[in-house]
Amino acid sequence: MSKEKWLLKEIDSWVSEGIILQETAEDIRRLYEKKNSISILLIVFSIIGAVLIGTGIILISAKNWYDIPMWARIGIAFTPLILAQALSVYVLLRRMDSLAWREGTAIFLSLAVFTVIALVGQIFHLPGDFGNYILVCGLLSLPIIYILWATSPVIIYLWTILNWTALNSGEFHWYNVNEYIKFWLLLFALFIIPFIFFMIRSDRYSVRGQYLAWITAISGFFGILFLNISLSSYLSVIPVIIYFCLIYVLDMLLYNEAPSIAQRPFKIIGWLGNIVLLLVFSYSGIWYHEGYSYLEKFILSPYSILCIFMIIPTVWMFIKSKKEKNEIAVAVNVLLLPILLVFFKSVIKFEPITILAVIINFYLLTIGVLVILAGVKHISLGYTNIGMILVCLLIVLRFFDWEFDLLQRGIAFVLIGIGFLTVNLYMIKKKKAVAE
Amino acid sequence: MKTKYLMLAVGIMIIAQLFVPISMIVNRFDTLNNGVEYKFKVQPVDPYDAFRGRYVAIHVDGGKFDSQQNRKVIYAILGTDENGFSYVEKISEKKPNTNNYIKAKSRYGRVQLPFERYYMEEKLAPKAEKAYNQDRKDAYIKVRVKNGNTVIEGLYINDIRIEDYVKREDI
Repeated sequence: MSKEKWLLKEIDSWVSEGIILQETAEDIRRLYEKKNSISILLIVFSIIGAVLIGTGIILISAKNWYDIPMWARIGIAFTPLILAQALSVYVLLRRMDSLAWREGTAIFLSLAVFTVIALVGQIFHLPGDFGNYILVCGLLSLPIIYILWATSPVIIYLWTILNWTALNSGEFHWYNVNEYIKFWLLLFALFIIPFIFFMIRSDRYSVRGQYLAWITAISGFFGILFLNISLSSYLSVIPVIIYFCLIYVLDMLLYNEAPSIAQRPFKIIGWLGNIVLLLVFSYSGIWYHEGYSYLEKFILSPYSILCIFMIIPTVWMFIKSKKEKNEIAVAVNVLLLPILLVFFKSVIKFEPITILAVIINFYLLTIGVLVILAGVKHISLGYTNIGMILVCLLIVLRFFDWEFDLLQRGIAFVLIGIGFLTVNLYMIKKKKAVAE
Repeated sequence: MKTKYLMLAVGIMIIAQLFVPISMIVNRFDTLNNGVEYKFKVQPVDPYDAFRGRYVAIHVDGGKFDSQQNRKVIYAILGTDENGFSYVEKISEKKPNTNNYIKAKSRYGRVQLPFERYYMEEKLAPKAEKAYNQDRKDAYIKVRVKNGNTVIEGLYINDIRIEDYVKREDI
């Protein structure tokens, strides 16, 4: 918890114990809120400024000054880097208490590293292996994240390792995948995970904590995807499903006391991700596609180890988080059902295939209805509409999937619309009644 | 105490960040100054790399390599034809004892030589391509080679360095 938050919490108890007056409490609150918003703005502007200057230097230097002698061009290439390094030392010695200085300098240094390596490549006409170039730059700018405890370059680092993996696995066919690339990606990810872990644990509702949580949840999805995409079968979906469940459960441990749902990135991405996957698998057509699936390949590959490594913490967190039992039940179902279905399809060659799609459809419908009911119960327009959107989406998808004529489609859409409006009107009335 | 360790970390980081580009430079300077000169016929086209600006993409045909292994490091042993242009004479999977070789990579059954880009000023690169299209036969690169490492010295059309050629001809 940050100092400000602790203070704001303490003020309440001081007022209730009569140590300070209500008015004094308000004054203190206003003072800190103002300070807080100013410092966030300052951080944002310092990052934007550093990014603009950094990319500007990259663009200016990309102009390629042929008339300038080589040694002078080398000098120009090193100038931003040395400037940024000097700034880092200055910030470390004098400005460690200022977030704006730390974040701005960190991102400037990262961009300077990209510039110098690019310029040396340009001066000597080196062959352009983009993947290796960004990876080297990403790794060289990693230490500044830890040294200045700055979050702004994290997104650059995550991008470099993911892009490198994507570029390198693209070189190979699925039957000829370089397994080493996967281990490298895991290793590079391990370099940054401790930082993200400590940041989110200590400061999860601040701007920096939230930003890290969002980019981590999204990058994690891409990482898992790149690790398994080569399997080219339904089996490659399983780790992605497990990943979404893992972050969903992680959210229950970390963000239980979040003031609003918007501050729960792991929950939103975990839930949305699995719903989208379920929607994809609700098409009966997709089940007919014969992927390449070999049981031996599945069990022996590092990929099954990855699955186990993700399932164990998921189960552990299930046991640990005793609150929100309904949600846990939903999460368990989301985890188990698709995995079983995909597994049946791939390994046991389950027939007839259409039944699998029908099960998924009913399953999605149940989730939608449960969310609507939860919304009605808690008088939450947001929840109710999310459930309604899910149900409607399912109906609309099925109407394009299965062949109905225009009249039937028209009637169905009118009914969906009426249903939508009625439920919303009912909810608004109920909300008013409760308020009164 | 904490600052002391952080300063140490900053020091190591700075050294690493300087070491990578400087080692690239030292290696290339050595090849430029002490390497043997070769000439290769090229075919340029003009793309754009957001980080490194305009360059003339060059292609030097390295010939075939009978293996499906991609990105394998191979050694291209060079020969010279009657016009003084170099070409890949032999491929070796082991480092040759002679000096006339280039470290290359295999790619889809072909030899990929490390000559892909010739960086130029933004406005000159498209002109260079146009100039090349007019004098298709006589474009070549001068390369310095030492211990398998290479540096492109210049791109030439009609024996004139391309930077001067595009200025003089007023294309």
